[in-house]
Amino acid sequence: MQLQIDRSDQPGWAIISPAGEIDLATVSQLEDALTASMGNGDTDVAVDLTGVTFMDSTGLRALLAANQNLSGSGHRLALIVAGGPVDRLLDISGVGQTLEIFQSLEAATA
Amino acid sequence: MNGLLSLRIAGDPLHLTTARSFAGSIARVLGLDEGNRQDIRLAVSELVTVLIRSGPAEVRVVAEVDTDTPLLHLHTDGTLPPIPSETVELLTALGVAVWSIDQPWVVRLGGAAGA
Repeated sequence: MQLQIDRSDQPGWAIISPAGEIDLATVSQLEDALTASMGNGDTDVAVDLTGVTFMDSTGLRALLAANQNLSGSGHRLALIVAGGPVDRLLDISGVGQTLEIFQSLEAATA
Repeated sequence: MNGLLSLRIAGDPLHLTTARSFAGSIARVLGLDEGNRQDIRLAVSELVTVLIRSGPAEVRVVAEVDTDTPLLHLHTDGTLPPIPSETVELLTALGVAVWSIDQPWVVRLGGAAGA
């Protein structure tokens, strides 16, 4: 399978860690994980994208939709990105003003 | 290497990774650096995604690699869909141009041309 997603929790945070490639074939897995993490409605969500080797705009749209949902309920979506193709996509798509992006999970959840 | 390189895939999202691998191979043939290879993989993934969403049975990618300006030709067995404006914006940011008047889409790899 192209994408594996681990989920864990820290106090106040649900953490999603996808590993692999996010595209039209796999984005539903990310959407399901985001929906499940947002389900209880009382935590912020961190998505650790450091294990993602490729992501196109289908993945970006899923993250933007989750960010909108979380913002609407007074919660945050934090992305952890450490260079590579994901960083490039976020850069050229100009979403840096919309999404909270960090270089480590520790920084995101501090 | 010269001439044409061609890939034929089923119109199924599961084959997007194959299209990206093909694009990466083309980029290597062109001698591009890692950053430009990633840009071309992203551009091809975006365009083939648009094609697959239109429901064709198959998608064909043909690369011209012996010209000053490398070109990709994207064909389907159906009618080419319009390219969403957000996809055009993303491709423009990547330095990739697409002509989509009729079959096939012709994609100019801007990063490759400048490499």
